[in-house]
This record gives sequence, C-alpha cells and structure tokens, in this order.
Amino acid sequence: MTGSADVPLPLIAPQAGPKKDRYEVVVIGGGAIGLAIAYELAKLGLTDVLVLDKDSLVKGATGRNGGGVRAQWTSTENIQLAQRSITAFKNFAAETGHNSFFRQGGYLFLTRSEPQMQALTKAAAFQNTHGVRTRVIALEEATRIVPGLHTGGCVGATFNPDDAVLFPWPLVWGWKEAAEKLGVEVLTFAHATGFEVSGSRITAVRTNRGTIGCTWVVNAAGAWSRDLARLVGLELPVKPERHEILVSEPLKPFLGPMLVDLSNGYYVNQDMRGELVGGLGTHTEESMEWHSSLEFAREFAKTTVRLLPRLGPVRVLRQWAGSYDKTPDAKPILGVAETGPINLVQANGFSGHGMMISPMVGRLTAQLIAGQKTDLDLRRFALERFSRGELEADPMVIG
Amino acid sequence: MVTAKEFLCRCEDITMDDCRGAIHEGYSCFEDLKRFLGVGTGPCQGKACVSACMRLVADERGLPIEAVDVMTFRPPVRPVSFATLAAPDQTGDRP
Ligand SMILES: Cc1cc2nc3c(=O)[nH]c(=O)nc-3n(C[C@H](O)[C@H](O)[C@H](O)COP(=O)(O)OP(=O)(O)OC[C@H]3O[C@@H](n4cnc5c(N)ncnc54)[C@H](O)[C@@H]3O)c2cc1C
Ligand code: FES
Repeated sequence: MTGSADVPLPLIAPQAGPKKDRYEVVVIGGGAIGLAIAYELAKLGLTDVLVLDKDSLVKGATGRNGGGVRAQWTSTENIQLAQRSITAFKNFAAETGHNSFFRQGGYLFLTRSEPQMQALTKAAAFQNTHGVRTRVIALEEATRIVPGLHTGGCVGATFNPDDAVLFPWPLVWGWKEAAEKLGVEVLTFAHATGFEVSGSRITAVRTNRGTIGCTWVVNAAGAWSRDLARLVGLELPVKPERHEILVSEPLKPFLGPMLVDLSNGYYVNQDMRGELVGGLGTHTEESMEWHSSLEFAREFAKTTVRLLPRLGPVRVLRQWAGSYDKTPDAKPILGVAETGPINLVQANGFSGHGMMISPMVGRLTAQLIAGQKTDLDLRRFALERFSRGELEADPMVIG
Repeated sequence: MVTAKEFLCRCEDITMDDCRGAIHEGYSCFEDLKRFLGVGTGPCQGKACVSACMRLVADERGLPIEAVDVMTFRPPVRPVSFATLAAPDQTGDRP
C-alpha cells in the first residue's frame, strides 16, 4: 500500500463524497484531458466512471492556456491528433450545449531565419501530404492577413487557414455536463493520495474522501502526473515547465489568425471576447510555482509593438502562469506502461499542446479501455519509446 | 411584473440572478463562478464585484464569508499599455 496523509476538505467544497465505493474507471484529473476521456467513455457506453480533481475545475493548465488549436506540426502523430480534434471541436457546441467560441482564423508563423524558413517550407509540404492546407506565403500576404503587421526583419511565413482558437474554460464545463448527463460522476476537491495494489493491478485509489475501488485508473493529472505515477513507483519523463501568459483589454475584432513569431516563441490571438491573449517561448523554467514576472510582460510588449506598432496604447489587464507537462520529444504518453500496473492508463506529457488534441486523446483512451480497436496506433505514444531511444522530436513546439 | 436587474459584475454584464442560478446549478465556489460566468474578469479585474460575489456565495450556501474562496488577484494592479511596458529603462507604469 502506498499513499500519504489525508488532505482536509474545505467548507466551500461540495460536501457529499462519491456515491459509490467502487467504479469501473477512476479518472484522476478533471482538466480537458480527464473530462474528454470520461465523456468519450460514456459515449461508448462505459458510464460507471468517476472523475476526481483535487481542486475546483479549470484551475490546472486547461484553465490557463492560450486557446490555440493547430494542425501545423512536423510529426505525423501530432498532425493526426490535431486534425481529428479540429473536426471534433466543430461539433462541440452542438454535442454539449456549451459554446467554446471556436473560431478558424488560421495560424500565421513568421520566421526571422533562413534555415528556419527552409524547415517551415519542408514542414508545409509534409503537412500537405496529410491534407493540412498550410501554404508558404510572401510577407506582403502576411500583411494582408494581419492588417498593420510590420514584417521588418522577417524572412518568410506560413499560413494554415484551418487552424483555430477557442476559449478553454467552456470546454471543461461542456464535457463535464455532457459526461454527467450520461451518468459519469465528477468529484471536485478530491485528492488522490495513493493506491492500493494487488499483484500487477491497482485495486483502489486512496483519496481524502475515502478509498475508491476500481477496475481501471487513468493518470490525467497534467503537470502533476509524474508525482502521481511515483505513488506506484512508476517514473514518467514528464517535467513541469512554467509558462507565462497575459490578456489585454477587449478590442474590436481585427486579428484573424493566431500570430506566431518563431524567433522568441511569441504568440498572440484575439479571443471572441475581443481580448488579445498571448505568451512567449522564453522566461520558462522547470517549476510548479506560478508567479508572474514583469520581465515577461515587457518582452511580450516589446514584441507586440515591434510586430503591431498600432497596439502601443492597448492596455494589459491581467497576467498569469501555468505549467506545461513536458516530455523529451514533446509528444504525449498514452496507454498502459509495460513496467507499471496493467490497469493504469497514462494520458499526460502534453508539452504545451494538450488542449488542442484533447478530443482525440479522449477518444483513443476510451477506445483502449473499452477494449476496442483504437483509431490511431497507440504504440507510437508508449512510455517505452523513451527507454528504447525511438525519439523523434517535433520542433514546432512554441510558447 | 417587471423586476429591475441588479448587476453583480458590471464589466461583464452579470446579474445577481445569473450568479444565483449558477450557484444552484453547482458552480458553487467563487473560482467556479469566475470561470463559468466570467465574474471578475473585466476591465476592473474584479475590484468592484468580488466581495459582492463572495457574499452571495456565502448567503446562498449558508456558509460564513470566511469559508468562501477568493480569486487570485493578478498583476498589473492597474491596466498598463504595451507602449509603457515596452519603453526602455522604465520598470513600471508611471501615470
Ligand atoms: C501558459 C500556457 C499556455 C498554453 N497554451 C496552449 C494552447 O494554446 N493550446 C493548447 O492546446 N494547449 C496549450 N497549453 C497546454 C494545455 O493547457 C495543456 O496541455 C492541457 O490543458 C492539459 O490538460 P490536462 O487535463 O492534462 O491538465 P490540467 O488541466 O492541468 O488538469 C490536470 C488536473 O489534475 C488535477 N490533479 C493533479 N493531481 C491530482 C491528484 N493527485 N488528485 C486529484 N486531482 C489531481 C489538477 O488539479 C488538474 O485540474 C498551454 C499551457 C499553458 C500553461
Ligand atoms: S465589475 Fe466585475 S470585473 Fe469589473
């Protein structure tokens, strides 16, 4: 038996504990990933599912992210996960009754280096073979797509009109309510603190709200997933990496695409509330501590006025930070690890792009648990790729 | 009968009734209301509405106000322009 001391339950938490003492599937983590998995399980008819989150919902990375959704990747895995998820996002409002403000304004990548431009050109051709409509565009066209854009110092750009942005908060509520309607239970302020193990199986999850029996356990604990796996002695190469982000006052709609400057990983988009939301690939560190820095705000502002000088007077309203769950090759860890309990399913290591692929991760994980053939081969996402050295990094990671 | 709308969060156009309804639907702590309705996310960043919303949560749930969670106040304290932030040799907003 492994575990730690109980975590006290605050008064503000829903006081009722789980309705039962045993579930077919216990999903640990109620972010986009955990809830997408629960919803997809329920759609496959597996409704004996409990989702646990140690906090109120939307406080992990899902509630802190930039809302970007794109298929402009350089690995088959990331492209396929993203492409199919884009299709799912289009149906999200109809399926759940929650508006995710999904808007396909494209992603526009700018580069300031010739070698990087060659890499982007190659990536675009590769994406085209997967049916992604990425084009290498002239800087004049970039200026037509983003009015007022200054491209001085840039050497080129790529654009995929089908990439998108959405507002992450309603995703969580939509999946939660849709899953609950189908019979799934979601319990907040429920902290998984250990596991009971018998032979090669986890038999129960220990929580501050009691011990809960299970047939399957899903580790969808985001940046906490490494700590959670350690409770059963499994080591995941997932590192929490702090990233900052900010939001401006709302403006009239003017910015169609997510605009990315690859020189410092700058990204900015305009959400459907009119606010500019954006971050940087710099000022990151391995940490679960989420302070906001003036240095970040200043570098973000400098890049903003360099690219879009007319935004100078626009004011920053709020900045915050969150952690990526980063793997060495920036691809997620999915499925059951060979060296861990045979009923512990991983769904973590999203390396800063988990929200955009959450519908597909939910589907694949649900198919695996339901014993169905998965739409994509999960072996490519196995933990074992790290020890076998079968790594192929995707250099298109930003932010 | 027409009842006047009582606003809880003016920046985001949220009424007391919107908030009450959400609390009873299960969005029952401050952080939930912030992320479900947007309470406290407008231009004043909650300065005008957070306490009222906490009071409402306490009343609707029969909890002491001390038990209600409060949102994390985040920088900047007042809105600061990109131009000010981007200006060289300046470390903050100077009115
Ligand atoms: C600043 C920033 C910008 C980003 N931008 C983008 C973007 O533009 N596009 C994109 O697709 N992705 C982006 N991401 C990444 C994205 O947010 C994540 O990949 C995604 O939200 C992961 O979802 P999740 O459900 O795995 O994690 P989370 O949302 O973090 O959920 C994990 C949950 O597990 C819970 N938990 C942890 N441990 C326990 C335990 N022991 N017991 C119970 N519960 C537990 C936590 O409370 C948490 O709610 C960004 C991330 C950050 C930080
Ligand atoms: S009144 Fe609620 S954010 Fe300003």
